[in-house]
Amino acid sequence: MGSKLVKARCMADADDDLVLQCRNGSVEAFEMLVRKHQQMIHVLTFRMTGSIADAEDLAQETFIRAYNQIGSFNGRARFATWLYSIAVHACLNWRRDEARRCRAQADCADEMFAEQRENSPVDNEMAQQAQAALLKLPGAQRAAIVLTVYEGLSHAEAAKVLRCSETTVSWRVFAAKRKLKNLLSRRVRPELPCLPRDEQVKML
Amino acid sequence: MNDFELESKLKAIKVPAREEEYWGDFPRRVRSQLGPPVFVEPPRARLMPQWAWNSGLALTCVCLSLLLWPVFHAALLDEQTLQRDAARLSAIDWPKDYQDEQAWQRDAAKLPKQLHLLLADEHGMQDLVAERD
Repeated sequence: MGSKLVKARCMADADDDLVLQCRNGSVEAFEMLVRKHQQMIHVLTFRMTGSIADAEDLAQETFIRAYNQIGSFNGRARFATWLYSIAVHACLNWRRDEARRCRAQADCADEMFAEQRENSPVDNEMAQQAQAALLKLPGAQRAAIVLTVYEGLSHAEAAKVLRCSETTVSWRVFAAKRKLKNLLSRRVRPELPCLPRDEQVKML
Repeated sequence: MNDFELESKLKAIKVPAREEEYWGDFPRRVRSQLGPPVFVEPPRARLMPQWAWNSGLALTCVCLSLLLWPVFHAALLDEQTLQRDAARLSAIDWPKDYQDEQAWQRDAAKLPKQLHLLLADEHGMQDLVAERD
């Protein structure tokens, strides 16, 4: 526990140094920051969108925004938290027109089938159901779940990332969990509402 | 379903793994899309921390209170004096004739060459008349 904290502190200090170099115009320093945090941001954007392609676009957008706004990073929060905040808001503003949503869901189903083909059938089905249920949540609730359940942030930390009160985060987590339990206890199959019926059958 | 079961189901969702090549290439792709280097002036160290501002504000309030207290106190005393005088005057047994100002002016007009002085004391209203020099 103690060594974890020390490690986190060292990483934060290293980030601060790189941010400082970045502020002095070093693009190389920013590239190093990207290298350090790219996987974390890709995971976050994938969980928020359920699509590899969109996760990649949003991760890229996140880092470009971070570079342009590096002057507004005041060092009060950790750099990673600041980056989370940019990524989550990029995902929340993610265009959700019908065509894109269809593509995301289709991508998601494809990816899950491809990745989990080797897993046991039970695990595979459970993951599909969980992903489908997660995608049914409103964006703000999904963000709350992603940050608290997957990323392990406390409600206070998630509130900083989402720029809302801790009570709001608690409420969103509670509402999201209730909805997820409801969806998962009904053992729903992933729904692809905007695809034609025969396409849906083919995918499932 | 309890929270633990829910979380274990959620954590069953695997994030697709990517090849090492992708992670090596991604930062370069991001870099190619960045604008010109940013030069940000380091934020100037705050001259005074927040607690100093708060303490200064509290001290200013106390000083203002001490400065303004005599003024408010005097005004309060004046008001109290006026109220006391009004109560004293209302307690005086005014002669019936002089309760009406017009009646007194009528009486005073009867002696136009004289000086009139109205004096109110605990014995009531007195009309002093004196010769004009």
